[in-house]
Amino acid sequence: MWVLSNKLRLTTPSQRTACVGFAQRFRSSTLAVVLFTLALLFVGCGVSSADHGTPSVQSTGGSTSQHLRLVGSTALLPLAARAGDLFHQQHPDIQVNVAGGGSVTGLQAVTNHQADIGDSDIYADPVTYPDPNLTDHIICVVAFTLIVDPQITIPSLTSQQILAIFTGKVTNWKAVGGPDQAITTVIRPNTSGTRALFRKYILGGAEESGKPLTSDSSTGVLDEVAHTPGAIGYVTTSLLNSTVRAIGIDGVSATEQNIKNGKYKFWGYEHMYTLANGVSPITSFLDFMQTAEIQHLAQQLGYISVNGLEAQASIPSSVKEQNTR
Amino acid sequence: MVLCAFAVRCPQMYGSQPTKERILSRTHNPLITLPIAQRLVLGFLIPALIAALASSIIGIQSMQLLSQESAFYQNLFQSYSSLTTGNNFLQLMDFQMHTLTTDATASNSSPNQLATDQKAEQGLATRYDVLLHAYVQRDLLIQHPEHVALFDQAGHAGLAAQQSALASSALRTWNVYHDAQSAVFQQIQHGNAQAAQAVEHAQGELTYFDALSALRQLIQFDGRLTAFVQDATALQGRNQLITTLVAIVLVLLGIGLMGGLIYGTLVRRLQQLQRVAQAVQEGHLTTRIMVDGRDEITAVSASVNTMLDTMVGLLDETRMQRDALIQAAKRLFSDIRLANGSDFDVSTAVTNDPIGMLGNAFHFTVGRFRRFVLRTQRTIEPLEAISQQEMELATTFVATARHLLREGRATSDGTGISVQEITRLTEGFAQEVTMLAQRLRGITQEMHASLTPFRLEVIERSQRFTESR
Repeated sequence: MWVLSNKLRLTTPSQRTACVGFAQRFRSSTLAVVLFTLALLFVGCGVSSADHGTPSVQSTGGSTSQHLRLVGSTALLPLAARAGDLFHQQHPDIQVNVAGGGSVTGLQAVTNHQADIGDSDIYADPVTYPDPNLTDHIICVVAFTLIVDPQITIPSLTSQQILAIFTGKVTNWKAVGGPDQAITTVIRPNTSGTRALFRKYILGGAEESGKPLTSDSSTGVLDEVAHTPGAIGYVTTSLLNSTVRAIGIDGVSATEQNIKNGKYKFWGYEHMYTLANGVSPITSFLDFMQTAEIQHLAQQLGYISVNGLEAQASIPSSVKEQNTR
Repeated sequence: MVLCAFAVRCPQMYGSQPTKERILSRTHNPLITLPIAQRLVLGFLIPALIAALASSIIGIQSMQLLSQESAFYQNLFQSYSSLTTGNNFLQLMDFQMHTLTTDATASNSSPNQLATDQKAEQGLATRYDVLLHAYVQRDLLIQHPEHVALFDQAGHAGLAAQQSALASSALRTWNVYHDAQSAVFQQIQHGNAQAAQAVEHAQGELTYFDALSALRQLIQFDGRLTAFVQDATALQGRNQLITTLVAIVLVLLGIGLMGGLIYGTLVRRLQQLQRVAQAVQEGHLTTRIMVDGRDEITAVSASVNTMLDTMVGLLDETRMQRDALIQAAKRLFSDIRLANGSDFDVSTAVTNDPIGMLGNAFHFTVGRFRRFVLRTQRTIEPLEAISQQEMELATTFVATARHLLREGRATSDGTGISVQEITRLTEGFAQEVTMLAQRLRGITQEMHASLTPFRLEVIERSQRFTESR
């Protein structure tokens, strides 16, 4: 018994030392492993954050200006201006300047590096704008409609009647079922994408003739038609108000449904053309234009969201039907 | 001596009787029902399984990513090739339209040539139409949700919608251009060559460039998708890295958890065992280990508890024997006290226990000593009588001799010398006898003196032994 007690007494310190040493080694190794893991996580997060870091704000031409210049389509101007304001609210260090002038002006401005983004209703002709870096970004769909003096009560015109009116072959509303009122056509200048679309999709490529009034902007057309007796013109549906009266084409009015099912032809894509792809402010703004917020805003302003065209693009039956004609 | 030393080291045990055992308890852990070997295997197996699972997930993710990437690039290459071919078709159609209208307006144009030109144009249109619709139906991102999800994860959520819009744009412009071609064909069929040429110039050229522009933008967009795929691939790589890190953390947690469990079921219990041993060493003999589980440590703990119980039992028995020994010693001491003085008759109980045997031995020793003393006394008494008698005789002889000597000096002459000589010799003899008797008496007194202190020393030793208890 005495020997056993002595043994216990003698072995206790070594056991205690061994236990303490093991505990210290265990804590040290655990601490090292935890630190190593945290370091790996930190490195991983660092790599991730580095890749998702705040993009550098640079503009075109190698300058450090934080101004975005948008020039072009007056049909897209309302949406572009509102989007520019919202973008500036979210990015206070980036000023967005939006100007009209027409689609051709926008295309020329962006290809001449006078603007970062060229708004356009029309396509960039590969012959006129051969720069391979010129990139199309479709923002939304804009519907155009014929507008007339509110005194003109006819609901619709056929394509032939419209062609006759704008080529000067019909000069009185009486010839197309309206009142005995001289027709005054109000058109856009040659730089207008709206006019180009009207020619391609409604006039079959024919040139307007007669004595049309020319207005520099869509709002100008609206005012001219509103204040000119017997006037007829075309504007985007987003600008419609009670001062004018919208009429249909071939009995079809300018609605989203009629556009999607292919019955209504007078509509076009709103393009934003750029030359500098991948540059932060431009790319950020273009991505911003594709967000649900802006697409919803576009619908509120009378545009049709680009997302609504997916079904049309994926359903070729209507196209095939047209091809068989 | 051993008992005394142990009593000094373990005062608690002798201060009070152990009434309640102290049990060092711990939290119940179901793992301790497993043998240590199985527990260690489990501890290594679970982290290994987690690591294997994580590796499998990472491997599957990598394989899926590579598969998706490969399928996407293959699909992209096919669509890019078909669209490039469509671009060539469009250019050929434009050239063919020019040829057709030129042939139609030529003065020597033949119907067969116009029919051939128109058939070639329609053939190209049919091929392009099939190609474009096949692209729309098969190659768009929206037809491949896995690719859309890949781009969405990479932060390019609008790619599918943009591609669909561009494809829709290409379709629409193609349809308008195709309508223009149909218008030209109608004019040629009606024999209006000039009108056909005008339509081709006014509408055909415009819509052709639109179709060409829209198609090139679609091709350009598909070309840019490769960069987006690289972004998505990089993101997947980061996700894999995160998955790897999470797996590492899980493995480490698993190892730590199992290590903690094993630590709790092995080291902690061994430490508890050590604490119990230390407590026992410090005298807390009532401390016990809580026996829980069915592993080897449980068996050792049970054995230690059993050993401690045995130790405590032995200590109790030793203590009882010690008490009995003390009582017997006291009784023996009282018996020895009775033997004080000249009475050496000790009445000790004759038993077979060690104390009884010790008493018997003491009784036997005292008896032997008593007989020795009696025998010595019997020896001394005649010696005393003899010495006394010899001393008396010597005294008488000396007195007689002195008397004769005084008478001889007064009456004798020459013969008186020899008498004087005899007297002197007798007186010397008498002195020697006297000296011998004195020596015998001294011896006797010395023996008496030596027996008396012996009795006193036995009594004093018994008293010291009793006091030390």
